[in-house]
Amino acid sequence: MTTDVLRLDSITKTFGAVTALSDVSFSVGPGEVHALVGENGAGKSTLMGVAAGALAPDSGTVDIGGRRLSRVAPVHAQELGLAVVYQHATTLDDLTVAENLLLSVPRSQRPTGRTAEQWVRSHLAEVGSSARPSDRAEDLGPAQRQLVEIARALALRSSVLVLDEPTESLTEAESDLLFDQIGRLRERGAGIVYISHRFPEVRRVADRISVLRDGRLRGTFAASDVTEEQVLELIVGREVDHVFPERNGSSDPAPVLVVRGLSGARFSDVDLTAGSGEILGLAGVEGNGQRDVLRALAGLTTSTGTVEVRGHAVHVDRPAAAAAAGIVHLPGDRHAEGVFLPMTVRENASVLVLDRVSKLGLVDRAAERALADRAVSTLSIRTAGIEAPVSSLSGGNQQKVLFARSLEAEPTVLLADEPTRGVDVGARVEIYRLLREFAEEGNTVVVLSSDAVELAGLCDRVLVFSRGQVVRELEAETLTEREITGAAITSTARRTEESATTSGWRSRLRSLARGDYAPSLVLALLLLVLVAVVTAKNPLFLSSRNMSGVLLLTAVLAFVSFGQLTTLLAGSIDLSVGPLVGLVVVVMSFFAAGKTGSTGLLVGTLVCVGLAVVVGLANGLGVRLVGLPPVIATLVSFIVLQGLALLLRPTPDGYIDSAVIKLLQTKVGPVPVAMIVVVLLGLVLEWVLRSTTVGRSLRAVGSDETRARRVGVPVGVTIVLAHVTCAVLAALGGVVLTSLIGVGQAGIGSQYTLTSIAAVVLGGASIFGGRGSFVGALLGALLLQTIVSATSFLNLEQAWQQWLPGLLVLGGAAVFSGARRRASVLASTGQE
Amino acid sequence: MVTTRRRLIGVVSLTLSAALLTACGSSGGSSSDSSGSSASSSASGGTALTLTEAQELSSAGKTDSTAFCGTTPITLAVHDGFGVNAWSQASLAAVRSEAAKCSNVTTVVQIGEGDLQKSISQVNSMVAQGANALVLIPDFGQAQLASIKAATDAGTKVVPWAADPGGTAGSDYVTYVDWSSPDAGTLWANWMVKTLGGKGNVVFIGGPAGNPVTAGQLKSVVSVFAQNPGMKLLTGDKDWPVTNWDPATAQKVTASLLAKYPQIDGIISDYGTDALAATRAMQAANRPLVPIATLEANGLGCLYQKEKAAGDNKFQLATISARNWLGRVAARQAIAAAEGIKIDEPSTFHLPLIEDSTAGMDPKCDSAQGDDFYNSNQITADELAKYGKP
Repeated sequence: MTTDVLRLDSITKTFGAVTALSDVSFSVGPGEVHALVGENGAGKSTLMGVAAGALAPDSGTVDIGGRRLSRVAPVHAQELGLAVVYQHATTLDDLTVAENLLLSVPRSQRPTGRTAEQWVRSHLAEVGSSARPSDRAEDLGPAQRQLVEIARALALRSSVLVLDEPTESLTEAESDLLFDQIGRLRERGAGIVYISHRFPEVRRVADRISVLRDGRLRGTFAASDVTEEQVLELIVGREVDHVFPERNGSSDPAPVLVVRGLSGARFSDVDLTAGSGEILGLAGVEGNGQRDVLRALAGLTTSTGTVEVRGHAVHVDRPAAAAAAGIVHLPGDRHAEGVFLPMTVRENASVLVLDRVSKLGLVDRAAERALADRAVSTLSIRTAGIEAPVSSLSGGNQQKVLFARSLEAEPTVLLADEPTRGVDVGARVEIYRLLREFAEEGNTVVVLSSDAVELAGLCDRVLVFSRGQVVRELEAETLTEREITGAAITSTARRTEESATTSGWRSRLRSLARGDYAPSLVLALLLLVLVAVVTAKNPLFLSSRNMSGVLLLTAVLAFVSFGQLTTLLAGSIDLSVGPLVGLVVVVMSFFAAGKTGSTGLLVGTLVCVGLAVVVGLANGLGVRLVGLPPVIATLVSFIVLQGLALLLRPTPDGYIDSAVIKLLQTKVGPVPVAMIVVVLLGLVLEWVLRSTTVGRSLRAVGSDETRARRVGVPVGVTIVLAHVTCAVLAALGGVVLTSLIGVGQAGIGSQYTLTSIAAVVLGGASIFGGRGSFVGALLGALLLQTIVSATSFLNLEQAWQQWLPGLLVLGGAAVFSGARRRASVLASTGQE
Repeated sequence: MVTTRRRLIGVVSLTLSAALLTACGSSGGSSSDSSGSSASSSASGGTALTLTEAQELSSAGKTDSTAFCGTTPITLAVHDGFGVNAWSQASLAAVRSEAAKCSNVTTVVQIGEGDLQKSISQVNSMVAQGANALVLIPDFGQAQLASIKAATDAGTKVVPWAADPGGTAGSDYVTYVDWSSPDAGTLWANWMVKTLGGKGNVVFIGGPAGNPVTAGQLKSVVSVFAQNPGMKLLTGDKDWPVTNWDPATAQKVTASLLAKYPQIDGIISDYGTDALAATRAMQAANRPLVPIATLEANGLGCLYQKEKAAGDNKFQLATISARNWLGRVAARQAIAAAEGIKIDEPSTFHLPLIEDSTAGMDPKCDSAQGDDFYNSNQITADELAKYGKP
């Protein structure tokens, strides 16, 4: 047999006290599909994380293509020939499909110039994707995204491909396409690790099957040698613990909770009923809609359909509305959604029913204390007292506090989301007992759990979800752990076929509105209109004097805006650009004052650029090394730079050499050379942004740091570089501004911080990073500067000088984020 | 904060040209006959208007004469680097009401709202529109000199006032109109010596650390006190507790001074609104009000009258004009220069005390106006409403 393309030897990995993997060995040969199956938390993802160089194993070795993975770095694994297609696509939303593909390929394999487009098309065709290279990844549905992801992995010409739940978001036709693709890959000699919960799929594609349970390998078999039964046995493998309270089997036939046709973001047309005294379980592989149904019932997410509680229709559009109707949610993620850690047991217990323990907005301490005491004693919460902060309690007792809190709200229907997650065995038993007692009081409990044992032991009935639908209902005899897991894993339910993409002019218009150049077009149009209107009123507006005045100031603002855009693209921001511009003017007054001529200008500029590099490094390192939020890091610089300027020039001094001023204000016709330079610079930067690795890396980092890192972009370096570039560009703006100020004076320039952000946002940049355009920033700067001049020519009321740019920014941001939001909603619901 | 900025910017720039200022101050701004352009149509050869400092002081710069207007239709540009508070409104009203006397003068107004870049751009635009004259408060000081020079080079007659842009009167601009600030320190100190009978503990509070205006005033105060051994400047001869010309800070600063010094007999403050804040600190500390020497503010006058009515005769007040009326002088200088008319009036003013409760010049209170109203400008409420906004 030839060498395995992937070999994992005796991998052990622990997270704190939890052993995620224990001595696991796993291999894939060339042309082989090796399926890895197991329950949630069995260790599959951890194992692949180790293989992909994302996690360091405690012991054991990884060999890819016969070579040892010597350092823990995704890039390294990639270089050795391993590519992972993650369950949640890692495409970078703000980049186009083509850019996503090109970015992930090492420089040596990257096609250049004209061949690039052809290369992209062929790779998309290879996986049967209908996405266009110019489509923005964010606008793709989940299936197309997945295919792009696979195309990306294939483009790397990897010898091993790890597919993590690849069909999770695919329709049947798309899954078939994927399986064909897997077949072709196999023929090409690639090794494939296929991770899935879905046994029928596994049967269809796998040559070998390995079962993981609780971090241990339970066996590796030839796919043809094992039955579904045998594999299931291994997957589940546990005895049902006798920790569950007795079911009395006397649930009232009159239903308490009736749900009809409930549809929402990840589920559709769900019906369910639950009777008085009943505990209903919701099961399924994570991400198949069961949690979403529970949250929809709690009013946490929007849904359509009807919900009735004891025969009364209920609108569960908000948590408060659901609670008022008697539906109370017991959160699964205690820390994120449940307890208020620093607050006391008393405060936590009463928070849902504050109106009951308070009068006129004042909390009645005695009543509140009584309530908390009652909770502590009836639920036997182990705490130092009701005044102890909840953070001092164990997980199980925190859960009981939450439970107490929910019970105090006197619900009819209790929605328990993972009620025993992170709770030790002893507390578990008590929580089960409490849930059962609560149901027996004539109420209904809906339990969501990823633990099949728990569901089998606790519930009267269990609904198994797959792909957003109830695929199986289990009760009495059929209600066993194996049935639950089996139903979830062997389901062949398919997502309903996606509706055809909206076509025609509307979609084209929308894609234009979401394009990077839409804002630029709008700005250019606005500019033309504005210039036409003002010139009609006063032709002097286009006089060379006014034009050169406006353009010179535009050049300054454009330099600073280019800088600001660089940081925004990387998902950062630089508030210190304004004071830096001011400081540059001050520094220039030391080098270019008196009769220093062009030498002074040159030396001064070099010193300022050097200074800017230092400032940029400080900002960048503050953000990356110290981990400060960019706003804070650069705010510190803001203050320091202002202070520095004041220190250097406590009073204005150092008149700039008039020769230097002339030089900086040199004009060709009415156009200042500085403006010509800034336009050319803008075009070059735009090209860099669109067509080079540096530009793509920048946008990739701003788009999503984690994903960018996964595809091998050096995130830290990119962000630091962005800050340095920003500072240098701002400094150049400061040099031009020097000619307009003419003297070293502290306290100027800080306005450029906000104005530059306004210009950049007007130009279509996202304040959250990843997208923007230098051409847009240039036009934004020009428009803002033109407005200042125009209001003077039109003799408009002063307020309009604020209103006009303000409204423009607001309008631009609203249109832009509107288009963006709509796109992402469509993408996440898979309806486009 | 707002006030701070405008005053800070305006004032920090004073240093370089302090000497220069005094030099050109005494001889006044009679430098406007140079331009040789459409030379003097009406008043060929002679001086169209002559006003002495004393005349100007007594009428707050008002004159019935329109001789400075000329006849050629011109555009007067008015700019203020800040332009949004009560002080700015009074200033605008002074300039514009004066220009309104000339039917041949069209006025355009822009304010920079504290934005240097915008101010430069606005001045550029107004000059590009063909403004013949420009009256401006260069709040950003010398940072605006380059754009002022450019305007002058473009043929616009520029008169900066109330904030010093540096540069040279006569070549960079027509003339610079303002008060002589060190005089104020001398006036305040002398009044304090007299009011306290030559013996007492005085605190001096002032604007941003090291700013040349306050520094000059302190120097004057120190030299007056040096000749009066009974006078003690508790806050020292070198520097002063900094209010940043922000009333909230002034109140805090005064409160801590009150805690530190059990005996304070007088307060000198370089800004009326700060002085008013200081009285609030004293009242909050249950300390009796003491004599105060400062700049005028309607709120202070009202407080004085209230205290007087209540029988408090220890609270005495001496103030100097808030000087917005100098805008009238600036407007005349700019228009006359653009019209090629020679006028003779001073550019630097030695402002006297306008309110002195110890000398029968009772501080004025116009209860219809706010604390920030300045009575000495002789600007009516109508004028303020009509011309006070850009």
